[in-house]
Amino acid sequence: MQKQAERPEDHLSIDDLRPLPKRRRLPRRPPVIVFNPKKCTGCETCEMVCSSRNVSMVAPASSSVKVLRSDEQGTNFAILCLHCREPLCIEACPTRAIEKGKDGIVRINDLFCVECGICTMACPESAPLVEPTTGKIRKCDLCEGDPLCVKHCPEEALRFYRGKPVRWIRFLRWPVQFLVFLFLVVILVGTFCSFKAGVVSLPCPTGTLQNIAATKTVVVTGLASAMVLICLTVIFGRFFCGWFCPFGFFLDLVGRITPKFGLPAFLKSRMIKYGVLAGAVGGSAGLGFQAFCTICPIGSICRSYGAQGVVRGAELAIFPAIATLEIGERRSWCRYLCPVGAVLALAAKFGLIKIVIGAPQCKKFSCMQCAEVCPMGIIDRDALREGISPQVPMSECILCLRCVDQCPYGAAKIRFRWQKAVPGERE
Amino acid sequence: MEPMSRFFNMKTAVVDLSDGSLEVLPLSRDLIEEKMGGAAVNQLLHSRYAEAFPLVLGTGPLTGSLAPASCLLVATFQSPDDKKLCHTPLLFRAGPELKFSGFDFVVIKGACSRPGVLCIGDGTIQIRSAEGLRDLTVPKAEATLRRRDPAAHHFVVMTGPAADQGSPYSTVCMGLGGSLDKTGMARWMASRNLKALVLNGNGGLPFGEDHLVLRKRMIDRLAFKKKQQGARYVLKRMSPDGNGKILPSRFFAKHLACYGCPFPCTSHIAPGNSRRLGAEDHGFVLHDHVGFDRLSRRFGRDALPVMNACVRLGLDPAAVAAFYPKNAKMDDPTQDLTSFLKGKEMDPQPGNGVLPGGISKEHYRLFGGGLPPISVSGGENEGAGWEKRVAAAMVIGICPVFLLLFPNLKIEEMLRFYSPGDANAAFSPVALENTIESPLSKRQ
Repeated sequence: MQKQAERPEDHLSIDDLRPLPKRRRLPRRPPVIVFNPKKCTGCETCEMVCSSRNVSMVAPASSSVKVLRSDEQGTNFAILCLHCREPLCIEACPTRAIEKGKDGIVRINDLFCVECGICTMACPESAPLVEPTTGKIRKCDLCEGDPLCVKHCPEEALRFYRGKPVRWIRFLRWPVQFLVFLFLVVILVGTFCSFKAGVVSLPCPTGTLQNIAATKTVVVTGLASAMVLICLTVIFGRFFCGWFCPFGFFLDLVGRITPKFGLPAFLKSRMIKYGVLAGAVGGSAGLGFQAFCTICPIGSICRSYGAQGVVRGAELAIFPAIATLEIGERRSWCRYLCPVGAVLALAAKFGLIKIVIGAPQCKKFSCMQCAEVCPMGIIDRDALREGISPQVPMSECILCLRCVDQCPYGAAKIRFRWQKAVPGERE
Repeated sequence: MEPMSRFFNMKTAVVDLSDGSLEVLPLSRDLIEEKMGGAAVNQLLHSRYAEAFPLVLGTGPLTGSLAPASCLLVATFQSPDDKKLCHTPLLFRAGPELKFSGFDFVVIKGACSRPGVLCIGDGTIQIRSAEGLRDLTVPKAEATLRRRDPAAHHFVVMTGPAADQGSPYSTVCMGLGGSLDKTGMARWMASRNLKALVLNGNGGLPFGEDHLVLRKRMIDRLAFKKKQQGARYVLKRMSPDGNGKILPSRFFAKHLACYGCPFPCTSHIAPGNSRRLGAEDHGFVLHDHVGFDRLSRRFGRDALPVMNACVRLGLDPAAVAAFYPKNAKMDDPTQDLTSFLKGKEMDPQPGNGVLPGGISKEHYRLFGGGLPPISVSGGENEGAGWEKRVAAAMVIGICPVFLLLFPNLKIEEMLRFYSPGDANAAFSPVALENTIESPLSKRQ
C-alpha cells in the first residue's frame, strides 16, 4: 500500500500540547532578590546554602546562584534569576518546561525539562545555570518565597524584596488635571494667559517675554509675576506641564485613544522648541504684537471653549490640528514644539528635585514599565537594556510621576538634586 | 551516615609528573581518625614519599563545609631554602575546589619534561601543556589559561615570571591576590616544570541541616563592625603602632572574603585610589598582609604600586622590601623589579622580619612564613598561643587568619561542625590536641 504523504498539519506541535500561557497581569507585589554589589565580599555563602537546598549537599556547582569575581576590577556580581515580567526563557523553552506562577515566580518543571540549555542562551542574565556534571538546569525559585541565600548572606548583600508599586498617584493626577482644565477653560476663560485675582497676577512666562519684545518695555511687576511660575519650576520641576496644563490634559486624553505611528526624524529634536521660543520672541519684536499667542494651543483652548469663549473661526482649528501630532508620539507637542515648555525646561535644569530610576531592585531590561509609561519618552530604553540605571533629564521631565506610580518594584523615586543615594539602598 | 564520608571523599591521588601516571588510593579511616586531616595527614603522606621530595596538597575535615572560613588548602613540601618541611596555606577558593574535585589529598612527585599545567577535577588529574605561558605576567597567563578552557569553573594557582626566571624570591599567585607562600612553593613548582595547578571542583559534600543553624549562630556571635574589615584592619592588628595607618582608608574601599568566610580580610586596591598605580593596571587584591606591611615600612604610600608589580610578577613583596632602604623610591616598579629578579643572594632570609610576642621563627616558617603575626592572647605565652591556633587551623581546614582575628572563637566550637550532637566523636578537642603536635614537632 502506498504511504500517503504527510502534511504539516498532521503533526502535533508543542503549542498544541502545551500552549504558551496567556499574558498574566503582574502580581501586585512581585517578589525579587535584590543584589547589592557594593556589599558583596564574594564569600560564596549564597552558593553554599543554595546548593544545600537544591541537592542536599554543599556543592557550589549545583547552586542556582553564581558569584563572579573580578580581581582586576575588585567587583563581585551575583547571577540570579530576576523573575522577569515577560521571561524570554519561557518563550525559548522548546518543551514549555518553564512556567511563571501567579505569585510571579518563574520555575522549571523538571518533568518536562529535557536539559537542552536553550533557556540559558535566551536569558539576558544567563540565570538558568547548567550543572557541569549532570547537565541539569538549575534556576532560582526564591525558595518558594523564603530565600535561604538572603537569610545567610553575612554582609546582607542580598535582600528579598516584594515590589511595592505606589499606584495612587494616578488617582490624584487625573482629578487635578480635570479640575484645572475645568477651571481654566470653562470657568475662567482665557485666564491662563494672564490670570488675575485682585492684586495677584500670574501671566504666562512666554507671553511675558513676547510682550517685552513687542513693546520694548519691561514692566517690573509683570516680569516679577511671570517669575512666580519660573520659581516654582526651579523648585518642583516642570510640574505645570504634567499636572496643570489644560492642553497637556487634552493631549493625555487624546493620546489614550489614538494609535501611534511615529514621527519623521526631522521633527524629533527636543531643541526645536527652543527654536520656536526664539522665533516667537523674535517675531513679536518684529511684528509689534505677541505673535505666538495668536496660535498658542494652550491659549486657544483656554479662550475658545466655554461660556465666554472669545476665539472664533480659524483659531478654533489650531489645537485640534496640533493634537493630531498625537498619532506620532505621546505628547509630541510638549516634547518637541511647545515654547512654554521650553521656558520651563530652562528653569527646570536648575531644579531642586530629580527622578531617580534604577535602584538595586530595578529589573531593568526585563521590566521597562517606566519607559513604557513615560509620556515624554525620556527614560533611556537602551540603558535599561544594558542593565544601566538611566539618567532622567529633569529639563524634559514633566513630573507626572507615572514612572514612580507604575514601577512594580519601587525602584523609581523622587530625590533632591544633591542626594546621591540610589533609591532602595540604605543611606 | 558515616562521619568520614561526610567530610572527605576518602581518596588520595598520587600523580607522577614524569610520566603522567595517576594512582588513586583510598584514604584510610584509621589515618583520618588518628591525624584528622590537613597539615597532619600531609606530613604523613610527605614522609611516605619522602625520597621523591613531593608536594602534598591536602584539605582538612572542615574544608568546603558550612563552617565559617572553610577555604584552606595546605601545601606541604620541603622548602628549597632550608630543606625543612613547611605547610603553606593557600586560601581564597583553593581548598573547596580541591575537595570538590573528588580528592582530599594529592601527592605530586617527579618533574614534567616540558612546562606543564596540572589540572585536577572531576575525579581525574591531567597534565596539560603550559606552552606560551612562560614569562607572561600572572593576569595575562591566567587569562590565556582560561581562554583555552573557557567552560571550566576553575581556580588557578600559578607561578609568575619571577619563578620562570629562577628568582629565589618567587611566590605562587592566586589571581591578583598573590599568596602567603614565602618558603619556596613557587620554586618547588618551577624546579618541576610545573607552571600552574588548576583546581576544578564540581562535586560537593553531604550537608547537615544542623550545620546551617550552627553557622548562622556562630557568625551572628562574631558581630564585628563595618570599620573592622578589610586588609587595613588586619594590618592594624599586626602592628597597632601604625603601619596600617600609613594608607588612607579610601585605598581599601572594596573588601573581599575567601570561600565561606564571614569576615572580609582582603581588600581590592583600585588604580583610581593611588596616583602611582599605573593606568594600564586595573588594580589588585591585597591578600599578603605581611608582604605589604614590609613594603609599606620601606616605601610608605608608594608601597601600593610596588605591591601591584610584585603580584603581577609573582614576586615575594617581603623579599623586595628586605633589599631596599627606608624611604626608597621606584619610578617604574615593574621595570625595576624585573631587573631585581636576577642576581641577588638569599641573605638575609626574607619573609621573617621581626616576629612579635615570642612566635618562633621556626614555627613561623613552618606555616609558610606569610601568616599575619597577630597577637592572640596578649599574655606571656603569646607565641605558643599563636602557633597552637595556626596549627589547629591547618589541621581542621579552616583559614588560620580567621582564627587569629577572632581569638574568642574556640577551636572546640569549630569542631562542633564535625559532630554537632556527639561529644565522643573521633574529632574531639583532645584528639585535635594530640594531632597538632605532629606539625608543631621539631621541623624535619
